[in-house]
Amino acid sequence: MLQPARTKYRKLHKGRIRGKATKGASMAYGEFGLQSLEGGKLTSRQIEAARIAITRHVKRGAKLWIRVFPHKAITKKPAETRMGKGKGDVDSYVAPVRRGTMIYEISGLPLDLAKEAFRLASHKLPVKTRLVSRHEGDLLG
Amino acid sequence: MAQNTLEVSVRKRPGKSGAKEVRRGGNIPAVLYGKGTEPTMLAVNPAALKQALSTEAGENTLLEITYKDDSSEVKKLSLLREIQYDFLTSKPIHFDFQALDINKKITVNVPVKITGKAKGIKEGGILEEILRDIPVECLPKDIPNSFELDVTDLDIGHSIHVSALRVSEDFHILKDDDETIVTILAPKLEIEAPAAGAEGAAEKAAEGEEKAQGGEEK
Repeated sequence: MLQPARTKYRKLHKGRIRGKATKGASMAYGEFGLQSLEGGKLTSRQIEAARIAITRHVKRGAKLWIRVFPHKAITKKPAETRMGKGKGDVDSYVAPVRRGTMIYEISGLPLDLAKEAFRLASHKLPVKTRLVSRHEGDLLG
Repeated sequence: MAQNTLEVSVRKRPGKSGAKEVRRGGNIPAVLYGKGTEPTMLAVNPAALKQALSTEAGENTLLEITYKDDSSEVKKLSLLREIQYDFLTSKPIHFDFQALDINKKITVNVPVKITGKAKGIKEGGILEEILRDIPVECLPKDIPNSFELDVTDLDIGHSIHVSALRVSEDFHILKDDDETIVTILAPKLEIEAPAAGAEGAAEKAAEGEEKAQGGEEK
């Protein structure tokens, strides 16, 4: 599962995810991409689950790029704990995504296979997504 | 060299509101600029542009743009330089046209077209296109339509480099000879860079997650 090797600060503020993606919003490597249509936090488990769904469906014969990384630590207080006594321990890592962020890219497979693989992957993610093809941008869509 | 004509209209109202007004009318805002040409704001019919670009040269088709400016008809030879797409719908929202001097060299990106089915793909390999466009310097009349690459004999682990492209005295390729255009990867689903920092954090919670993941993979 993806998580940072080391972090400068262990615990971070919660923050808010607003606006649209200006970075990581276009196809950089593959032929097809899975683009987020809304803002949200993808946990490392969700990223991994979606990756496994894609891998299992396409078996072999494709190259996958994961365009997001869970850099952000999420803390959680233990169950049945009274409030106070400081911030909880790090529970998981998430990748904050804005609408437009390209989550995965894939190449080396036909459109119908990519479509199904990304459909399966999208069920593992907490955000609405769409399939993007490099060829659809050619010649004005 | 492929050339076509395109009739456009001049738009007067600048800025975001002017552009939105053009889009509401079914057209797409555009700009024409170039050396010795006063930048002109235009409104382009996307269907007409698509039709004009439907030549073998595709987006590198030379366009003779015609518009009426103060009751006189203006004709400019130009090249489509940029298409801005809406980031969520992939629909074009703006075009850039560069007015050209037919006697001056320009830099254009020429697409690479891959033909044939590689030997390595039949064995289960994955074709990876690293360079999809090759920048070329030439006169507007000498723009190549595309570079065709036959990959039929390409085996797993082999690649084709820029040095293999058909060269001509008409144009100059602005890439090093040893840059890879296309390669055949071994048949394995790979994950790129982000996985590099995957291991190593000492957080307790993260350890728990890793255990859970181990179980999942089995």
